[in-house]
Amino acid sequence: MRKYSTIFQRILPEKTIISLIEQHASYLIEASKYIKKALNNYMDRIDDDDLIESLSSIERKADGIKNEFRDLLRKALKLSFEREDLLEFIHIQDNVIDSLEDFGKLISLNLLEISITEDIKTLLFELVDEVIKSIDEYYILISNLEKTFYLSYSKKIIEKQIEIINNLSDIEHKIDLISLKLGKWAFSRKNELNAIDIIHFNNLVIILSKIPNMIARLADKILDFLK
Amino acid sequence: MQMIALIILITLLICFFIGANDSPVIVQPSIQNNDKTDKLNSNFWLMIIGEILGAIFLGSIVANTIINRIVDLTPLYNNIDLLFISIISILIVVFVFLLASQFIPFPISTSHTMIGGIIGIGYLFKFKLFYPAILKIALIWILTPILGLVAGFLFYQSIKFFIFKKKNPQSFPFLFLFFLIFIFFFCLKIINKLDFSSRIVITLTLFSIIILMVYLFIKNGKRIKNSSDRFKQLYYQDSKQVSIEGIIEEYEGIENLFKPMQKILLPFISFAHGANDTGNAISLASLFIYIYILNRGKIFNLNLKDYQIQTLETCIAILLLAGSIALSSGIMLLGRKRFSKIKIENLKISPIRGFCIYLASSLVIILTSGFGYRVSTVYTLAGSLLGIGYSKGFEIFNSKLLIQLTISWLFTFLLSIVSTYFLCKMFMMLFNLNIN
Repeated sequence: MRKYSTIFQRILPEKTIISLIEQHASYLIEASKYIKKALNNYMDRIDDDDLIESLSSIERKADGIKNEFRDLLRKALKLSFEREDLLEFIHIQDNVIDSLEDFGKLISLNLLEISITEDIKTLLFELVDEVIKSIDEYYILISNLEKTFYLSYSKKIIEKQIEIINNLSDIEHKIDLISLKLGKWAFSRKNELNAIDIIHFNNLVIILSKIPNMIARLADKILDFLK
Repeated sequence: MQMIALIILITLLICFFIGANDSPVIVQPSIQNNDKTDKLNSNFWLMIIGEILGAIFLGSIVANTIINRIVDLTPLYNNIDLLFISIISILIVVFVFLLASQFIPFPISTSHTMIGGIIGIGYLFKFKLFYPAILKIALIWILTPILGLVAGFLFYQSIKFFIFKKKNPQSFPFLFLFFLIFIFFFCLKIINKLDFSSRIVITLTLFSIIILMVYLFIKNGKRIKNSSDRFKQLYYQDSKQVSIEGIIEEYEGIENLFKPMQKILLPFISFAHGANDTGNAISLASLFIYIYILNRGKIFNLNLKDYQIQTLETCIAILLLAGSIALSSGIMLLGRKRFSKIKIENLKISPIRGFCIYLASSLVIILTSGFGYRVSTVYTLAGSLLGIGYSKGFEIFNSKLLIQLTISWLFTFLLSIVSTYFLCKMFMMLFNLNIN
């Protein structure tokens, strides 16, 4: 049966830019739920292939949304945002999901053979918690973006969004400090530990610490959209 | 008798399908994502009220324009068979185009087809064509979606400025009041052309609408103020305590205040649509019945001289009533069913945007109708929607649709001229008819 559509539906596409961004970001939230479990596995020396499979599956679904997003932009419809900015935005958001997947994969490559002190363990979990927190805060920003747009960037809503963006900057700064401490700890053990273990540990910290940086860049882009 | 029956049948079918095709578009801006079915039904009923009133009170102006201002058809008045063949050719083309519009990706305007058909007949019989009037009509066809776009853009920008960019969104009623005054003056301009009794009825209707609007304006103004004050208290006492969801909820409350305004503007738009489209659809049938009575004196064995059906105006009035009922049936039987197939959750037209679409379109339609021009309601609504898009009211929209619409009307117009020309010529050959 032929699908009925009015002239308005020919003007306004069914899928919108922000709804696709939000859908893509929901996979980010889903992927972030696995990183704590991955870290626990690392500490307990457990090899969990299912976790990697779950992260890969989320990444594939997110790629599907990204392609749909690009297709929509290719249709040469009129946009309220710059096309290049949107493409860059979805690229960065996708990189965050890729980083979470990379973290899951990297952590499973090398089972822990070094002994980690309690304070470093705490720092590592704190790092993961802060990364998850930054992703959660970012999702609040994204989930309200459509309404912010449909309420025509009302002054008060933008003020609130800026508050969240500032929170994200604070989290980013905190994560930088934690990752610096962890890096220093790892390299200070160069005479006691295996070089591979140190590099592996350091790479894990670097992957996690880059996530809030990317999220901060996304938040800045949103700030540009709101202007 | 069969001639009249056939012409009336096709005319009523045209009215029915106009109602079925246009009603989902006209009613769409007034329906939001969370609306229930009963609200949907009430909006269709409001539309029907507007359509019938519009057809009855203003349809005759449009019908007279179609009959008298496009082509001089008077040479056909003495040849009832040829007049029948000409009119039936035009109506068949209009009806076929109307049915075809459901299977092609762009809308088809019946008025463009009808006027094109009359011009086709004019060319065939080498009648006098009123080129300045035709050019003006064509210009208005192009201008109305553009004017709708400009008005939609300006209204949405004003709403953004008066509501969303202000800390206290209380100024919007002033904008609305300005519109009411504007609307009233243009309505007065239109009704000056009518007879005394129609003027009384329209003035009373307009007066009631305006009273209702002013009532809502005062009531909503108070609600906005209360909401805004409550919000100010919350926000400035401790802004950290107010969540983003809380602020969004407050603004959505203001958005919802526009819903009753939409309900008032919906019958108003339908009023213009009823006047334009029913007047257009029944014009040629009215002319035929009138000429038939003049020539033969009676139909259905009734001597019409006893029933006072002797003037063109009477024929138009009777057919307007019948046409508006057929159009309303199209709305309720087919239009509503089609609308129910649309996924309401995918509609991104918020109450404020819907209000702006109606506001901009009403203004443009009143303005152009006030000067006696036939306009397409659907095209004007589409123009207003695009205006909101250009005002960054939608994240993404098909801006090329305006060009597609222009191409569509040009194509429809030219094709209807050619189709009517050849169809009528074919009928003449079949029935061995000649202008001489």
